[in-house]
Amino acid sequence: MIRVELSKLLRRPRTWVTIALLAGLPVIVGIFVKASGLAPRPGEGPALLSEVLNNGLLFPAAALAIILPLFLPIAVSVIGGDTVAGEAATGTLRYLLTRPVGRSRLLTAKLATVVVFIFLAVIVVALVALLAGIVLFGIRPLSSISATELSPFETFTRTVMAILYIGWSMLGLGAIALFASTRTDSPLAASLATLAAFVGSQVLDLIEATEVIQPFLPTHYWLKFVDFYRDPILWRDVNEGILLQAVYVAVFLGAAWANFTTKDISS
Amino acid sequence: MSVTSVVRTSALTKRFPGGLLAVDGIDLDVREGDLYGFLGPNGAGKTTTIRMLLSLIAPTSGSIEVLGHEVNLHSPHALEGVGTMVEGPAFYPYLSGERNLMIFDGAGSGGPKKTRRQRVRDVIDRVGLHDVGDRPVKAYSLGMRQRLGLASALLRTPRLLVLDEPTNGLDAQGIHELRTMFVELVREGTTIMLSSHLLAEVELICTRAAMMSAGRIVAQDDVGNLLAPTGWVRVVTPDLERAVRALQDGPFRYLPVDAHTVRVNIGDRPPELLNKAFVQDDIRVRELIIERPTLEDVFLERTGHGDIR
Repeated sequence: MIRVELSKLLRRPRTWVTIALLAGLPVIVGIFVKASGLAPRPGEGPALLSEVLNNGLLFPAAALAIILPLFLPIAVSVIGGDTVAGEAATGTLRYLLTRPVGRSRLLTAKLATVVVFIFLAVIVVALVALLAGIVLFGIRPLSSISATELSPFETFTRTVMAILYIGWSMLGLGAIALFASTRTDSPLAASLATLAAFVGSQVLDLIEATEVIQPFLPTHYWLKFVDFYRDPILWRDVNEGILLQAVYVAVFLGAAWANFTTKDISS
Repeated sequence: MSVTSVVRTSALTKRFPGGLLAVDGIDLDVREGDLYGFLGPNGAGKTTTIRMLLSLIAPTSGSIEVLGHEVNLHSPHALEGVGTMVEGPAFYPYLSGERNLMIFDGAGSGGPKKTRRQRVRDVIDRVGLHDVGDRPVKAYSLGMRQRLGLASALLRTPRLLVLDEPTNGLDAQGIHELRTMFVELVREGTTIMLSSHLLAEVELICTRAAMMSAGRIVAQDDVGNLLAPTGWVRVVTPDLERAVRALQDGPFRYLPVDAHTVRVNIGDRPPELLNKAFVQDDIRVRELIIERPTLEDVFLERTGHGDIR
């Protein structure tokens, strides 16, 4: 069933359009930075973009930082919100279930498509950005944020770690989207509900008054992927982030499962 | 010959959250080889019942057996061997007809992957879509979608087809083709359960029927029994006056209709006796018609809206 669902994901034009848009934005940013020679000063603008002029190898990380705050979560909300509710809206859900496909299996397959989409998206974005970075800015040894030099190989391994971390960071939102998707027959409603959760988390993360709950917000540790570029890697927040996402995944997958396996399908 | 039950429910009940009692303790019995009409007006509970049979909706109480297996939300395995079309076909519009069927064939336990394309081609041919199988479904007409839906239901040669209002949206030609195909399928050994709110449509082909009204089954029997003669025959004769005079002396109740027609209640006696009596009196019988109810008549009678008969 996972294979069937993946084939649907990969044959769907929308998947590739979304990924192309995700990969395109950082390239556009890169071209302008190159053309103007104006990178944001350190500490301003998307993380790491300030460093890019000096070194193209850092561009994948900068690209991820560009899409991470908004574009990627929107894409995850749309794809994740569509999983079950989209099938309900077109009516294909009843035909899958009466094939028969067990509900747990279908949900598992849907989860797999969300995970594959997330990692496919970040990997494609990183690869495109790597290519663009090399072409636009060239390769040089990198000065890490804590001012020690990282070799190109180290930069590469750390970028892989950052990609995995960012993919993992999206899973919480993906699980929320999957849950929302089992609660409604409208993919739009499911995606918007997920976006609401995302925006809500971002807002609460910004103000001082909510400081006590901030470590528990799903988006709180997202940008900590920059810690992979410190020397040595600063693990504390990254580990917290990984753990927190796991908790969100467990809770919302559990809720999605409990809901979907007992639900009357009247779509 | 023993009769095997293909679908059997006992005291099947569904009360929706909010209190609506959609299905009220029904006992269905679909037998192997039936072309079973599941009839009733819109809102009678047919679709809810079918959704319960297909483990899409959980019954409030009662039990369901399909092809000898208990059906519930957590073990839909009984549905292997069941092809369905519920409330219209549904597809992934961005994929071709053929690709859609490949997906449905691959979903669930699936058949062998090697022969998948062949299986899909077979059913597409069967419903007459071979020329358009590679076009995206969004370019299909309503009739083509309906046929593709049926093709999808026919994948993996099901023993039982459960079709909910399969003729919805089809034109007269399409309905005729579908009917022919149903009869063919039953001849090949498939059992078909067919829901419809168009009673006349079902009358033409069904061998057994259940009638549902307001959540209850009001009749379930062989169509032959449901449509048994009413006991009335209609006699058309140019010699009406003499015929009436002869009937006055006879044992039967009768009712003149117009200048040439009289209805006679012969009960369960053979109508040829009446014919013989007329002919012996030299009364010319032009037509002698045995009156049968339509399914609609039966339905109205059983739901208490019966006419004067």
